[in-house]
Amino acid sequence: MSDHKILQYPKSPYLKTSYYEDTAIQAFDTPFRKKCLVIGLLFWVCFPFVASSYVVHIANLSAIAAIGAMSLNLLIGNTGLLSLGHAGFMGAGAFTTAIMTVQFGLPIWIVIPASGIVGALLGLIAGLPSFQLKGIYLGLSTLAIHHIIKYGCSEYQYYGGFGYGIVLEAPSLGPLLLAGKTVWFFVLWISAFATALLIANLLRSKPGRAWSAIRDRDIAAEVSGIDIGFYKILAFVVSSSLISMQGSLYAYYTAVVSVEEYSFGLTVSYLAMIIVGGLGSVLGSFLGALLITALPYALIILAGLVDLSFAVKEHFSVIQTGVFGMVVILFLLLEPLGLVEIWRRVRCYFELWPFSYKPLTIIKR
Amino acid sequence: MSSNIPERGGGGDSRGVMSPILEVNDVSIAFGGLQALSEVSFNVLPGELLGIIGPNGAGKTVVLNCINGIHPPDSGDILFKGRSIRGLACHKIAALGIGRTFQHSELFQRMTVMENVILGRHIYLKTNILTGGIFWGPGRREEVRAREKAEMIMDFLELTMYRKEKVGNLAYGIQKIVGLARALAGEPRLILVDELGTGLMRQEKEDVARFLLRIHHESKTAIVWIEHDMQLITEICDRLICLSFGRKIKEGTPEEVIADPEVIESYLGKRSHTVPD
Repeated sequence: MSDHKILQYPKSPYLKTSYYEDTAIQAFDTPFRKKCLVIGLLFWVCFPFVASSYVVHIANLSAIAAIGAMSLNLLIGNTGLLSLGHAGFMGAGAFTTAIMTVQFGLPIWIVIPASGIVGALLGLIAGLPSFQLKGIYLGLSTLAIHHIIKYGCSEYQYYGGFGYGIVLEAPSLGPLLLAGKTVWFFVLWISAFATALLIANLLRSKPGRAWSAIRDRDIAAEVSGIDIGFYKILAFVVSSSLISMQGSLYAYYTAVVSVEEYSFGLTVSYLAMIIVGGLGSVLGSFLGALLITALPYALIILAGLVDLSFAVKEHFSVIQTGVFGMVVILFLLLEPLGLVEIWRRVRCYFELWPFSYKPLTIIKR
Repeated sequence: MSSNIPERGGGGDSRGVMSPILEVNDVSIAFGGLQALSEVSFNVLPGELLGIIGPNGAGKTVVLNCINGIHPPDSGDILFKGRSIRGLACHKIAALGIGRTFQHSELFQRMTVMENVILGRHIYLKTNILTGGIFWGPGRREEVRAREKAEMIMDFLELTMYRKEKVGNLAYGIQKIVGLARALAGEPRLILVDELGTGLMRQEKEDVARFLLRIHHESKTAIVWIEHDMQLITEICDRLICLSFGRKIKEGTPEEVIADPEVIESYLGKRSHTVPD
């Protein structure tokens, strides 16, 4: 008699058997998702060598925008604090970079953390009104800080004798010279992924939960033992520190720092990214950043396909702005939860196919 | 009055010698011209289940808000474990071991049940921006430990099947229990329960009563419970307090309080009626 053989069924990839496993980010846990990850990585590594320099440039700008969108989303989407001063923090990072490299000749690995510290300090100041103010009032106080930073930067730029912009030399990280779009593609996207991981980690641990609690019900959060003043300031500090480092990267990448770039319009485009992408979602920030950054370039490519009259070509930037506004309005009307909700629905459809009995849960707004 | 619930009074054998866990001394508070509370005093003994009744607008929730620190009282003092907590910030009072549930749940709607309950353990977690951001080693271990505790509480309150649901999508009755779970997760020595049974159906109210009695008997946590359902509160509580127009009009055993003519008058306005059993 042979021993009774117990059938060993393979464990379902969806089944978690420990709380430790359940704390993992649920993005690359099933075999299919792991395959997608490998294919995605291969595509990502090959991309800058295959795509044209112009497309790589757009991808690089998207990576920068994604860092900014994630940091703004952390503040607006996750903590529920409105900031209209993020272009100012970005500018502060860029000008810190310019001053430290042009005047003191410091290397990149000192400059970027230093920009982060400058951003953190500015965030601390910007966050102080959040003790008392909420919503649009807080937004206005951060807008004031944006203008103060911008004033300081423009004074430096014009009285420092830099004219239309401070030109930076390509930095080098050890033996590697950070020049050329391909090198920057890897630098920027690795930075973006690192930022995403950092924010995702914060969101699944104590600070992130405290932030969400403050966003949803601040009094209940306080009664649960959360020092809401501290956590609001912390959100401001983390967010502005990240966007300041992003501003530093942007300055290095474009090699020119000029105060005109860090206008209120930039904040609005970051706001558009997180609204289009999905508030409070890291993936949403990425998707929104990609869409909003690529949109004007996509319009140029589209316009190249059709024969446009001279008058249209002359006012093309107006059309770009109009389409940008249109996209934001359409998202607000048709899909207020953003691209990430569309992505979730698509995923849900394929997960359930060919059955469709499971109701789609809709997040209350 | 049915009194077939065993061990009424929890661990209150030596009640005479026990010092109260919470003392509310002559607390008054006014909002604008409205005197919401005038010189309300009462004590809560360790492990006691104290009910607060009173008509709408009597100031019941305001009492809890004063204890929590949401509204610091204008005059009077509140002592918790013999220490004055008047004027302390909300989160510091919570850290001393006072839990709270709200009348309208006041949950974090876009977080899951599990996150809501783990959030209740906020005061015990030491993760900071660095360990949380890395989420490797200490940060993650602490998260797993918090999750284990939260699972115990969700198991106790029969919420495990909803753990990954967004709270905003849940039925009202379950949301109320999630609120209780969040308060329990902080392992408080005193829980302030605000109208847990309101808006629930019979079955859910019985669940609520069962949960509160189990907390009362098993963890010996003191509970201050506001409730409008007379049958529910009189059958379970050790002691009752009746508030009316911001004043304490009666304190005593449930039988005494609901038989009191002034209490009946505050509810019904006439002396000829009796409170239905």
